[in-house]
Amino acid sequence: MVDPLTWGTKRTRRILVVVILLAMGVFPLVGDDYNIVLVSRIICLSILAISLDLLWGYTGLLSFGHGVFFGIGSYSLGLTLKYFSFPGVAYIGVLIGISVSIIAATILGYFLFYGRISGVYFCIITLALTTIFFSVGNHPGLFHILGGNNGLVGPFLYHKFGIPGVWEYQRTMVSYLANYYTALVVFLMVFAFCYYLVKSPFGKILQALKNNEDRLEYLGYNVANFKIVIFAIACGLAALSGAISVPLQTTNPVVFGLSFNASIIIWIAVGGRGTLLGPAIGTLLVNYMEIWLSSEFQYLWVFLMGVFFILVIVFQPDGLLGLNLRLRKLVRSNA
Amino acid sequence: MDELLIQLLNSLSFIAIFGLIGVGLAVLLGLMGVINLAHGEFVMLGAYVTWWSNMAFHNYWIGLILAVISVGLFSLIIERGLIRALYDRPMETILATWGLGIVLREIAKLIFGKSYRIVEAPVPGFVSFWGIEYSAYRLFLIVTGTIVLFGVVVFFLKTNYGLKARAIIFNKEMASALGVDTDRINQVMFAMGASLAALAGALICPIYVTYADMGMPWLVGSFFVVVIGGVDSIWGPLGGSVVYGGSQGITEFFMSTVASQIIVLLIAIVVVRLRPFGLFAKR
Repeated sequence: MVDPLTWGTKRTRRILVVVILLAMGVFPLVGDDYNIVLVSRIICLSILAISLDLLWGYTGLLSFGHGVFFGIGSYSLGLTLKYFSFPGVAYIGVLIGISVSIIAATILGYFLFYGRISGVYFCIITLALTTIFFSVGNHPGLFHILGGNNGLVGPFLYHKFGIPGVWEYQRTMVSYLANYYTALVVFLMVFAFCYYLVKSPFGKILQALKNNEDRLEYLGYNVANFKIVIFAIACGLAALSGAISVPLQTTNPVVFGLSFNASIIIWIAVGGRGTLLGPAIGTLLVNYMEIWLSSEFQYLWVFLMGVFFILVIVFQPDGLLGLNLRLRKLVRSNA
Repeated sequence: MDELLIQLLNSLSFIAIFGLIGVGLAVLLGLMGVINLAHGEFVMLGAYVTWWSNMAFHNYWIGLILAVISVGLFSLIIERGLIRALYDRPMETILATWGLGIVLREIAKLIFGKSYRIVEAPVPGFVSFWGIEYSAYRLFLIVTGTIVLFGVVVFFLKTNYGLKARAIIFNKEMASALGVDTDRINQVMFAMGASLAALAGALICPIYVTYADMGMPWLVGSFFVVVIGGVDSIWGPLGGSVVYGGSQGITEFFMSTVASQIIVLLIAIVVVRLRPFGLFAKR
């Protein structure tokens, strides 16, 4: 398969990257408040989508429980803020979230990947994981800590985040610009990291793993170890995006629910998996589509989203960026 | 002691239901390497059809039969229209069945409304034996479930269809090369799994409330059944449901539901680590 990221000449690609970056940078200056808040959320969620794309698109491991690690990230930051308050505590919270997520992923990965859990069983186990976390998040016995169904709410969330005195932001509408740029900077950093990761020799091994796991093993690679490492990386990034989401949305057990976890997969499928850019585009597209559909069709919109998803899976499994490849092939065969 | 006996009987009813739901899921996984994420929606449809005909005819038994037949026929359409288009792409099939699940849930909400529906037990009252009083309907459920599951085992081990299905699960290419019509077997087995799920739905609707999202907990439970039991033979899902239903019933007796769920997940992960093809596989 041709890499959809390498279309056009080098020059047009460079121009396009600059245009997109400029558009993302300038957007808050021209957009209205509502859309800025919305887009900052979408940027944060697309970090999550990109991290799952590392697993699904590049390595072929479809996790139905990626939102669990997102939730670990946001609950860790939220709880840290709830119980401690000194300048810079947010950084510690983010680090705790990422480390907890990486450790959990490594332990789980050890059991699953050394147990030779293949595609479908991996889906099932991760699916089961979401239900457990969902019921822990809603557990009445933990209500005074996790807040049950409401999630983490309270004055502690209005602490200031960021670098004291230089770059401060908080969960109020007043600082939505700072929220936006923070999400954007983290997004660009994660994107660059993932881009170099998949272009590196390690990334090549991941793609080989997806294409033919047995052959890779014959060549002497420890397949399970590579799977554990990429699972830990992806889950760490998911926790990072979860931490970024704390000032942008309410932290509640919805992130452990099956529908949130499935919608991450829908974003990736719509945008085009295995492309990094695709999941980000898909997140933007599907979220705006949901908002539009839910205002147009109050009762039918979930149904319509389901039908749309089925159509994408059956007729365009490579997503939007795959469409671009198909069109080019068509043009080339006609020329 | 009496409470333990009641809990044991509750476990048996769990096992019967998870057996009915899990068999369809496991057979499909064995035949096509696919999990049907809309399987819980077949349970939901079965329950709704039973509820509806209970309202229309004031007769639970018509509803039970109607649920099994109508959901079976409906699943044939689904297999033709959706699953068959994705035969050689297992991952896409899983995602498409997820989309199908969303669509079916929303249709159910549009047709039957969002409120909880209740069906009265067709076998009322309690039966007393061995010093306890136990719900007559639950006893009926245990007996029916056991008989039907026994029938499924006979179907798999003694009939021509069962033999061909086992051949496909054992080696798909070889079976196909020897002239087994894999498409036809897949279709029959898909419909059988859906009918069994609908039967489970019809059986549980007098005990639990019926609503559009009711299928999800049962689906997740039957995942555990499949993971623990494996899909190599018909004994896999049956044994899996005994282990899962039993351990859930027993742990719920001693601790909270959440704690028992966590323990069951840990059991499943350890089982997967030690016996990747399930407890009841010959590998």
